[in-house]
This record gives sequence, C-alpha cells and structure tokens, in this order.
Amino acid sequence: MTQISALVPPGVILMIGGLLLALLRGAPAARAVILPLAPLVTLWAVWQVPDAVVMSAAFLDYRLDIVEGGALSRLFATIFAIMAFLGGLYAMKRDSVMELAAAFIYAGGAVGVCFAGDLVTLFVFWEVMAIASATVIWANRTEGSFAAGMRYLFIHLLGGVLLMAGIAAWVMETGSLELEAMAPADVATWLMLAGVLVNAGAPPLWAWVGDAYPEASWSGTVFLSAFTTKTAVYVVLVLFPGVALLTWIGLAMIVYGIIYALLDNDIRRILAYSIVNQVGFMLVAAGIGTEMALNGAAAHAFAHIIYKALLLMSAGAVLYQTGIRKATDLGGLAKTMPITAICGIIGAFAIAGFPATSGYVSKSLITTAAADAHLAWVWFPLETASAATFVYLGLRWPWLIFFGKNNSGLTPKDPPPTMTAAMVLTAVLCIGVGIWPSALYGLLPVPPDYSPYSVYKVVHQLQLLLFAGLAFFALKPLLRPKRTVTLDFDWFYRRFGTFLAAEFGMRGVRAGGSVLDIFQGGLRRFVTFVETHHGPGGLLARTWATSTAVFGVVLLLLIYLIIYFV
Amino acid sequence: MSKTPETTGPRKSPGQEDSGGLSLPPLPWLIGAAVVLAVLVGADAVIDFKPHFGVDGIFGFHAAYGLLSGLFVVIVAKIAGIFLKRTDTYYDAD
Repeated sequence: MTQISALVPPGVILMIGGLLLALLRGAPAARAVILPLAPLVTLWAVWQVPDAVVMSAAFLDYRLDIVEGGALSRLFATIFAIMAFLGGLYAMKRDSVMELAAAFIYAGGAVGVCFAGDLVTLFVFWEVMAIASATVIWANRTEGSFAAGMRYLFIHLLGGVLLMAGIAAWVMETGSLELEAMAPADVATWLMLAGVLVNAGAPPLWAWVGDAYPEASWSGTVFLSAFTTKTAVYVVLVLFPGVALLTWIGLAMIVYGIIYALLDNDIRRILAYSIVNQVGFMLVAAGIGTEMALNGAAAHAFAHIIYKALLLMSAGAVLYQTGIRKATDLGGLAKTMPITAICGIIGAFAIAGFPATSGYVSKSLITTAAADAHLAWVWFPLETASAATFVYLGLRWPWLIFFGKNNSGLTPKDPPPTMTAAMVLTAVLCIGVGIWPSALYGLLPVPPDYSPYSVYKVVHQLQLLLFAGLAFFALKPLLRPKRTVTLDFDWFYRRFGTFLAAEFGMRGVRAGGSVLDIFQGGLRRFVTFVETHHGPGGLLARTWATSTAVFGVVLLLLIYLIIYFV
Repeated sequence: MSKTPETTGPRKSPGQEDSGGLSLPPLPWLIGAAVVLAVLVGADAVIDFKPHFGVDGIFGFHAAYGLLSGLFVVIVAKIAGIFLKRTDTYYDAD
C-alpha cells in the first residue's frame, strides 16, 4: 500500500486545512471539523513516515527529498501537530479566519521543515513559516500588531536571506543539498548558522520575540510560541550539533530572558522573553553536543512547547476576559478564574522545572549532561537560571495576575468551554509527561537510560527552587511591576534608525537643494545670455539702420583690401 | 465574543496600583514552609549522591545556591533596569 506521506507531505495536510478554512470563510461547521481534524490527520500521517526518503522530486540537476523520516523529525513533527490541535481547539471562538488559516499554514510549514530531506525543501517551508507567522500577528488588526508584524517579517526575511545565501554558497562548494551535520568553518556554513539563529531568537536580533509575540491576538500568540524558535532548534540539532559557540549563545539568551522578563509589565511579553530564556537552554545543550545533551535539547523543545502554550493560553484567557495585558492593571483573578489560574500555575511550575512536570524531566537531561561532561562553567549558570526561572515566572507571573490586589476591579469568569478544554488538556499533557517521562524519552533519537526521579535529584531540585522562592518572598517589593518598557536591540531600528533616516533625509534635502541651485543658476545665466544677445532687444536680433549696414560693408571691404595687398 | 485587546488598560493612581500581596501569610503557613525547607535541607544528611564538582556535595549546597541565585538575579535585573527601562509610552510614536 502506498504511504500517505508519499502522496502528500504531512505538513501540507495542515496547510490544506488552513486553505479550506479560508475558502469556506471559517463557517462554524467547517471550523468545528477542520480545526480538530486537520492536525489529527497530520499527526497520523507523521507516524506513517518511515525512516527513509518517501517523496522526492527532480529540481534542476538536483534531487529534492521532500519527505524524509527520522526519529528527530518525528519527535518535532509530533509536538507541532499536537500543538496545532490544541491551538485550534483553543482558538475555536476566534473570529479571524485569516488568523486561523495562517496559523495552520504556519504549523504546516513547521512540520514541513521537520521532514525536509534537503536544504532547498527546508528553505521553502522555512519561508512559508515566516510569511504565515507574520500574517498571524497582523490578524490582530491593531496598529501595534501591524507595525510589530512588519518588523518581525523584515527580521525573518533577513534571516531567510542569510540562510539562502549560505545554502547557495554551500551548494557551490560541495554540490550537495543533503542535510548533514556541519561546523561553521567558512562563509557558507556561517551564513546558514546565522540565518537559523535569527529564528531561534539568538543575539543580537533577539528583540523580535518580545516585540512581536505580545502584539498578536489572545489566540495568535499561542500558535506563535510553538513553531518558529523550536523549528530553529530542530535545524540546529540537524545541521550544527556540538558546535561549542552555541553554548555561549545559549547562555547569553538565558541571561537576557531572565533580566528582561523580570523587568517587564506585559503578561505575555514576560512569556515571550521566557521563550528566549528556554531556547537558550536548548542551544546550550546543542553546543555541549553529547548524546544526552542532544536528547535533552530535543526533549526540552517538546516539553517547552507544551508548557509555554499552557502559559500563553492562561494569559490569553485573561486577555480575552478582561482586555487587559498589563500586570499593573491585573491581580487577584484566581478567585473568579480558578481553572485559568491553576493551569497558569502548572505551566509556571513546569517552566521552572518543578518535579512532576514536563519541564523537570527535560531540563534535568540538560543539566545532567553538563554535569556528566564536567562543564562547571555551564552547569552553575544553568542551576542559577533554573532558580531564577522559578522566581521570575514560577512565582512572580502567577502572583502578578492571579494573586494580590485586584487592580482591575473586574471579576471575570473562566473563558468559554473550548478555551478551558484546551487549557485543561494541555495541563494534563504537561503533568502527564512529567510523571511518565519514559513516554517522551522513548520518542528521542537515542532513548536515554536515565531516570530523573532518583531521590537526590528531586531533593536537590526542590532545594534549589524552594529556596529561590524564599528569595522571591524576601525581595517581593522589588518585583512589583512598573509601567515601563525595556530598551532592547530593536531600539536601533525603532528609534536610532528612524533618527538616522530623518537626519540623513534632512541633510540630503539640503545637499540636493544646493546641487539643484548650482544647476539652476547655470541654466539661468545661460538663458539670460541668450536672451541678451538673441532676444527681441538683443544686439544680434536688432533691426539695423541702412547707414550702419553700408558702414559695415565698407568696413569689411577695407579689411579685405588690406589683407589682399599685404 | 472577543473583547478588544487594549494596549494600556485602565489606569490607577500611582499609590493604588502596586499595593497588593505584600502582607505576610498566616503564621501556620509560615511554620509549614519553614518545616518543608528544613526537611529538604536535612535530607542532604541522609541521601546518598555523588557530587560532580566537589562543591555541590556540601551539605545544603543546592538550597544555598538557590537562595543566592534568586537574590542575585533580582538585584542584577534591578540594576540593569536603571539603564534600560523607559516609560511604556516610549515607542507610542512608532
């Protein structure tokens, strides 16, 4: 029997679902069928792909492997399909067909990247993701979302250009389109690495995450959080495993995420910064490059997608019910939104790596890999980051929204049933992976012989987190939100760039005016000269008297005679 | 029906906005928390484990490291905030 994946790539099934939603204009019946069905069919198709090339096509002198299976591809594609399902359920009441269609095309692009067996196919799906994800941001239809979506798109197109340039140079050098592990050693590989890292939220262009994600709608951000950065992690694991530089980049992202999340006031921007923070853990692991570290990076991407979606669903529910996104205007909502609060707390504890959550079983692989490799300079910062995550997100984030004084004065209820069901399902998944880690470990490229639940590991993790919690309560007054934004790299293109453009524009106008003045002055003098001599009153155009003419003729005759006799 | 997302939300007077959540929890909660923390640190005396870096084998190391890390990152963030924070209307002219 022909494999389904040989007929249509799994990612394209999701894309077709998105296009059908758009064609049927998001009619309620179409929505009720397509939103759950397309991801489930995709999930089934993902699991039908064997560990081999099942779809290929000729392209110029090359062969494109459009669908190629493998354990890592299956792991990432599985969580992407699950996330499309949960996001679709959560967004069932979202009235923007544009957003839902774009979100499914975006998710399909991510699945497409996972199964791409060559660099060109990977790039095509990569760019589909960039455009579709920008559309998800724009679908919020606010001025802020339009501007942020445009900035987001420019950054990602830049990343795409770097990636494409790298691919072109690589093909020129090697003649191969194969996806293979490489190290940044020449222009081609450096360009590819840079292009991929732009999507991972790596420095210096990391500001796009915190800039764009909070500007999407209450449902759009849930989709956005899942695919772009994690697809980049997948590509890093395929193309650049064990590149030591990634460890440094990852550590920088971890520090950045903590500091910016601690300073911010927007409940979803805090979560966006924490994405950079958590992707930092994955890049650190990719840089360590041992089998356990690479497993840890993949497992953490899987777990992260679940708990980050849960956190953003919880934040989205608050936004949906209150219309408020600033922490300074929230607080005390646990009483009236208990399910949202519980789900938010589960997500917050998971991201902090609290035992019995998905975050614990995946982060534990990474820290153990660093310890086993005796990398003290990695292990100690990772432990600090784990403690910090419990402070800035595990405790501070729920405190700002669900506890303390109710600054909004509102008493919203939990969101509609589809949203609540999506949140509860995601929370169950989050806990499920946490208490049954073998289910996740079994999906990893090399299933590890590892248990995160030895007594000392649990005790030490609880010591680390709960004593960090003590620091939180001791410094709580310092952790109150303020009505501020935090300057980031985007300042260069949002403020400094516009200042430069204005400044150069002004000088340019002056310089241009001077050049024009010179040109116009010369032209004016020439016209005056011509007018003086040839104009109606000019010397050469004047009507001469007969005597003057006779005098002139005599003068010419005289000159002629002189010349003749001489 | 979806509410229109706001960019700022309702404003409060400066004294009103951050006043929540600063009172101490009830005494039984505090005692319970102290017992949990003490038991966790005390467990180091009875559990068997192999430290990777030497220092992580010290009694109560993870507890102390967690506490210091929590204090450290908050203070670093506050210092960074002095230089990096602007009012939330900073980019409104975009």
